[in-house]
Amino acid sequence: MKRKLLAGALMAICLSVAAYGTVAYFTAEDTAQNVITAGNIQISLEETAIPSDGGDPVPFEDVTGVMPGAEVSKIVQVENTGDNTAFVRIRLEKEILLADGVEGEPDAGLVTMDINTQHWTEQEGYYYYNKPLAAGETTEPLFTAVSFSKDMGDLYQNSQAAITAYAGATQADNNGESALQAAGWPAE
Amino acid sequence: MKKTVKRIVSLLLGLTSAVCLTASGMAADASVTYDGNAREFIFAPGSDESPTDLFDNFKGVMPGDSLTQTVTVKNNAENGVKVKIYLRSKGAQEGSEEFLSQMNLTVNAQGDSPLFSAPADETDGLSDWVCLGTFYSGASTDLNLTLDVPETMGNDFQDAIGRLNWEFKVEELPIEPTDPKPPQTGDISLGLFAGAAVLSLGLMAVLLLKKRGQNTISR
Repeated sequence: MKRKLLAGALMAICLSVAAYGTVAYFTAEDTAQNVITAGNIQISLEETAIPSDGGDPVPFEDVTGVMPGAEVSKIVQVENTGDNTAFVRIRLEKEILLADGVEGEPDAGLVTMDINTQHWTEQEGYYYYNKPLAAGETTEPLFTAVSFSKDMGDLYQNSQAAITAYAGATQADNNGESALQAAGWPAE
Repeated sequence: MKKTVKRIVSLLLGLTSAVCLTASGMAADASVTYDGNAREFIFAPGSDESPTDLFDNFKGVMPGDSLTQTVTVKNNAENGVKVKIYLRSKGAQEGSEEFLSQMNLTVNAQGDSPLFSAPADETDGLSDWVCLGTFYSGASTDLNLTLDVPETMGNDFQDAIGRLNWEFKVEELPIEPTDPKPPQTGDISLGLFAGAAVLSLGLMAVLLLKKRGQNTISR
């Protein structure tokens, strides 16, 4: 009986050793594909107008037959269509083209806009929006109306007044406290 | 008396649940977990771009950004098994090199010098397998990542996408008699849960002993 027990014990020990000897390292491998994405800055310049009979703003269209002393509705705003907060600025260009055959020096100062100085700050020819514009937001209007001076005489008959707005944006993150301090504005 | 005991037990159970839930809420936001049963890694949280994405905080990066990301590496294998977990970088996926080369990535393991500190498209110190440690069941360690994006990164990289492949490997080893007792994991949720459970069991034992004492006296 004792021999049987001894043999059994030896066999168990041998099996244990064999089992220990056959222990292999289990291994596994897998890959994590990590992704870094860059943000973006995108804006859209919006030009709308209130119809002469009132109502909601509609896309701005050229106006003809404007007389001295008239005021034309034109609303200029910028929408942040990108994914990141941006600083925004606008530069305005005014130009008066006299009618064919008319000679003279037109005064662009006779065409004025009701600039919104509460939300925009003028500096060196640009109007800077006073606060960062979050993704999806739209600025307050830079102006809402264009006025033609009563002093526009016959020189301006059949002339064309063009007001062109150039809007630019730069990132607000890591770029100064305000639009006035920001760098990286796009070239026009 | 019975009502008081019930109230105390209910209160303790409630507190235990609350503590465990709070601890879970504080967990790191990215993890690599070795599932010992399936013998595979589970990567979280993933993203729309990749189901195995660990870089949750590195989305929509902008020039001048300095962003951090913690990746917790855990062993969920059952007791009786310890594992060694290794990491290596396979570098930028084809087409991602130019974008990733713009920024610098640093990877720190706890208490060690950086495992990686180089432009993100390179493999640097992770070119070969690096052992992140030996993990007993439930043990974990944190990898702390920092991504620095230079202000000079220009418009050409707006909306760019860079893919960086990291490979993880595990070796399962049996626990030897000479092994030290499993160390503290540093996993706050597990520690708090264990503490709360011990507290509850202790209280129950005290209450039972007290009740037995009362019965003895009544005889």
